Amino acid sequence: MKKYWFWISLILLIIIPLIFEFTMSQNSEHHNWWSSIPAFWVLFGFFGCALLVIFSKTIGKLFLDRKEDYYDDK
Amino acid sequence: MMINEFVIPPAIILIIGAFVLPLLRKKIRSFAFLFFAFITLFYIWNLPDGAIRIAHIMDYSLILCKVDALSRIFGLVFSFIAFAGGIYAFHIKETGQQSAALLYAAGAIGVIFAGDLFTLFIFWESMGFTSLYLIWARRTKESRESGFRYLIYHVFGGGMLFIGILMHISETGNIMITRLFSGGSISSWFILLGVAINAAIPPLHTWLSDAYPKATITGAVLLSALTTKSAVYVLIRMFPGWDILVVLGVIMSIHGVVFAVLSNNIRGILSYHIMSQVGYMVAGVGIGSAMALNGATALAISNVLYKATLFMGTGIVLYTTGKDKLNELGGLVKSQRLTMCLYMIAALAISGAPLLNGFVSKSLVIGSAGEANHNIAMLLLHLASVGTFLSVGLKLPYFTWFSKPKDKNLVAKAPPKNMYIAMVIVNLLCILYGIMPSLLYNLLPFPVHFKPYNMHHLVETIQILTFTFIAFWLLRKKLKPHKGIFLDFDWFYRRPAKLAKRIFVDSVAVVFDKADKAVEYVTKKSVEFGRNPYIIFGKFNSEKTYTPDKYRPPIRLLLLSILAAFIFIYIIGLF
Repeated sequence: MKKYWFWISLILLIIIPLIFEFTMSQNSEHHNWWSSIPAFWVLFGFFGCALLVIFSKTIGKLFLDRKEDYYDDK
Repeated sequence: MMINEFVIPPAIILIIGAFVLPLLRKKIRSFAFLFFAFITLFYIWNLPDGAIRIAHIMDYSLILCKVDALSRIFGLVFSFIAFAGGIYAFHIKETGQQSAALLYAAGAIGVIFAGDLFTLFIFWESMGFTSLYLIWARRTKESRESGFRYLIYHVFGGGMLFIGILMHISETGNIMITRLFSGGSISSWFILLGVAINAAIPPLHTWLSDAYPKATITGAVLLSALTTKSAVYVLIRMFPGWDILVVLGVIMSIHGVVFAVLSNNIRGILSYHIMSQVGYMVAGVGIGSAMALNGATALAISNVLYKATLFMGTGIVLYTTGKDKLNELGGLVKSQRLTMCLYMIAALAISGAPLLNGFVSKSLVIGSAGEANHNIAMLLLHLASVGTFLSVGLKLPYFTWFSKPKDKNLVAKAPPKNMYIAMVIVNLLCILYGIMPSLLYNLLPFPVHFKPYNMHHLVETIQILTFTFIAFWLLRKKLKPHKGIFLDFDWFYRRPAKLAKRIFVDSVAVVFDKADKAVEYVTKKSVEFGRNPYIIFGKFNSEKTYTPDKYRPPIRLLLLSILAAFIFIYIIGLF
């Protein structure tokens, strides 16, 4: 039952803003280059998150990860 | 203007509190803590704009207290959080921590109301030392070591600030806190460096991510609120419009979120997000327009509120399970539903979800970046927002409360009720400001012409958050926490610390050791020589002490023969 509500609300959260985005008037105050890309913030949220995860984990693996006792005096 | 004599600097109330507290009976100390914090809050609320208190010391007139819209709003939120922190720590019966917390809050509030650089510096330094106690009071090996690094960092920062202040005074002859202009003299840069350390601007931020996760559970709540935000206040006062701050602020906000993804410690994640959030504020100060400064102020206020709540939530997890590593936590939702819900409200607030205070304050900063045509900064700040939701809103709660527990026997005992009450109170304010932003906007230093709730902004925010969630859900396996630490800029002093120790401690010890031995040898030999000078003639005189009788006959003989020789020469000379 809980899962059911979770999916419904998720789908609503995806669809309603999209409907509004394509029906409302253009934002006249600030017009940036990304304003003309449809569903820009959808892509931004998704790929931004993926980028952050992958980038952080990669530099972690390549350079930064150490054992817990790395700084301890031996 | 209010008459001078009647204005008591608000910090004084807390300082009195800190000294009265140990004299009271144990049972009423927690009440007394709340009393003093509340009186301060009430008093600041009633201080009129323009109230001023001047003390004349030697040739200088120090402005101990000066009230305007900017200092009032910071003072209000600081005293409020001292009060809420008092509720959260109500069960703590340790006078040292309580007094240190009051003095720490007094330091922060003193900085806020200081009108001249000397007063500022004194409160600034007092903040460093009292907050250190809240780290050391955890009484673990890690907190002790990390506290020492914290101390060295802040002493260094204080030193830079003091150098800057002295140079500034000798250049201008003015001790008032005034706006400094970029490209100005070297003294401004020293002051900026000192403030940047407290604001945790990279690469000078590592004291924060190092020490805050190791502080006491209740101390971390105040730490998260006061030090960095009082530095932001000084930045707003003195450095608006410094372009370099835009760059540093954006770097800072991204640096924080990237490292929060790596962090395995729940309070470590939050510490990096203090940095990320302060990055927004620093960028706002750098942009320097009225809207940006309003944004920096509003975000600082909001951040104090939700960040404190987040630290309270993770504090409850640590208090009830004794664990703060994500790889050891999981599946706690059954026993901690209330904690999780209260935490999530604050987590959504920091992520900028609508109806909460993060939404109405973050958008001021990002909007001002857009107005100033800092397009790249604007996008990167949005990205930092994505990262905030990712780490604080998704990763931390997922691996703490929802993922499969690694330890089946992990149970959470019940925390004291006062911890929940504190969280509820601060959360209510987050929601109140979120629903009625005008309450917050009216307190800001400049008039606000900004409506956060417009369709574009709502659509944008909901899309970002929803799709961040979807990406997180798909990538959650990648984020699985594992044991270990990671390098940050602290490598540059912690790793060479071993080398430095070898050069400055070990090698010095070797030299001293050798010198010690040499001195000992010389002393020993001279004593022996003093006892029996004949030993310099070698082995055949092996006795340790000089016995005159032994040498009397040969010396007598020698002297006699010399005398005889003189007499002989003399007699020959006569003829």
